[in-house]
Amino acid sequence: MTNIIKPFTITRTTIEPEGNTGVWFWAQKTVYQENETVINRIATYISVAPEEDIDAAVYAFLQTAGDWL
Amino acid sequence: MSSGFTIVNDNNNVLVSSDTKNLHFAGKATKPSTPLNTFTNHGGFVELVYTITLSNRASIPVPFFNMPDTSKYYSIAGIKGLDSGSSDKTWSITILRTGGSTAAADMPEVYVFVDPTSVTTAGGTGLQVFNSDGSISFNSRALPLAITHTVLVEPPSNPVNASNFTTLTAAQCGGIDNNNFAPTEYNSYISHKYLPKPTKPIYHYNALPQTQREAVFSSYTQGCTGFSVYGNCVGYEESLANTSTYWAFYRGGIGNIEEETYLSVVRAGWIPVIAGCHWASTSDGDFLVLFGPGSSSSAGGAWPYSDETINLTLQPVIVADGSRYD
Repeated sequence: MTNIIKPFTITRTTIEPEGNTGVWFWAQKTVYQENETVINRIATYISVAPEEDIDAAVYAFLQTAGDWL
Repeated sequence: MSSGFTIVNDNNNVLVSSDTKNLHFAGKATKPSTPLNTFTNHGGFVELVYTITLSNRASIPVPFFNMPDTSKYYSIAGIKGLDSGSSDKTWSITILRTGGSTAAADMPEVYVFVDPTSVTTAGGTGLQVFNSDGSISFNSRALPLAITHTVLVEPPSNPVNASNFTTLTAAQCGGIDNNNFAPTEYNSYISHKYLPKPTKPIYHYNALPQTQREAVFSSYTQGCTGFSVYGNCVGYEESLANTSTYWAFYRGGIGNIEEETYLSVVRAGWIPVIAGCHWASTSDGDFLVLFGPGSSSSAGGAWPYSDETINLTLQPVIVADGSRYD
């Protein structure tokens, strides 16, 4: 992924036994409503294949796994 | 001068030896009337506890199971013995299976093999081999375990991918009825190739691998009844913080057999055995907060077993033909 402000934070990575990268990350979105601010956050783990871009994989996850982006 | 008796095959593998104990068919374990545990989320789970009584307390059963539904995953989770009668031991054998029917007809059959001291046989002719201590090692009058083939398997370290993942509520585990953790990942192995296929394959595979996956959803809502001065609420300010941690725990399993003309493919995957959620909620409210610091809270540390996989190693699947013992 190009050098942009990312809408998520990767907190830790690990190399899984089969060579994939395990990625812990969280993302957050803030919604402003009338007299109210709501901040939602998700934190979870995904596996990323060795040849895949980790940032792009997390971004793709957040696109498909609910209304995060 | 050495003594003893050994039978080997063309590959010099030992088939019968007076130095070891051969396994023989002791009988089929009794099916439970109902599963010990079940759930339907995440692809479902059934825990079945079978029982069998052996006449020699020193004998340890080695169970094999068939797969009535080859699209499911199965494994052996535990074998536990309890003395019964004057000299017997009753064994409980726990079989795990992914979800589906809990009817007895859909439960696997469990074939139990033990050393020949726990197997009763009728008279007649045959071959018996004894160990040096006089105990019996092989008895052709019983039904020895004949292994048709073996394969080493290992599930992938992560049981789920993102394809089915949905956003869940942060409030008080309100999304507990989710299916986010249905296992989707597996590794495929050629179980056997160009060999005569067993008429009724039965398998021995232990649920040694374990893994846990979780997803944390948080929400923080801050409202102001009044008006805001430089970001601070003048009036009544209230906030609500919710966090729900949804999780699932898995054991290894084999299944989803694909039969082709000259080979069988077995998958090593995961069986979700328990799932749950932990939540926390904090609400706060203040009147006439202008520049005050308000309240605060903090947290730290980690769950003892969080997004981790253990005991991931190549394990043998031992296959025999159950039709020999029906």
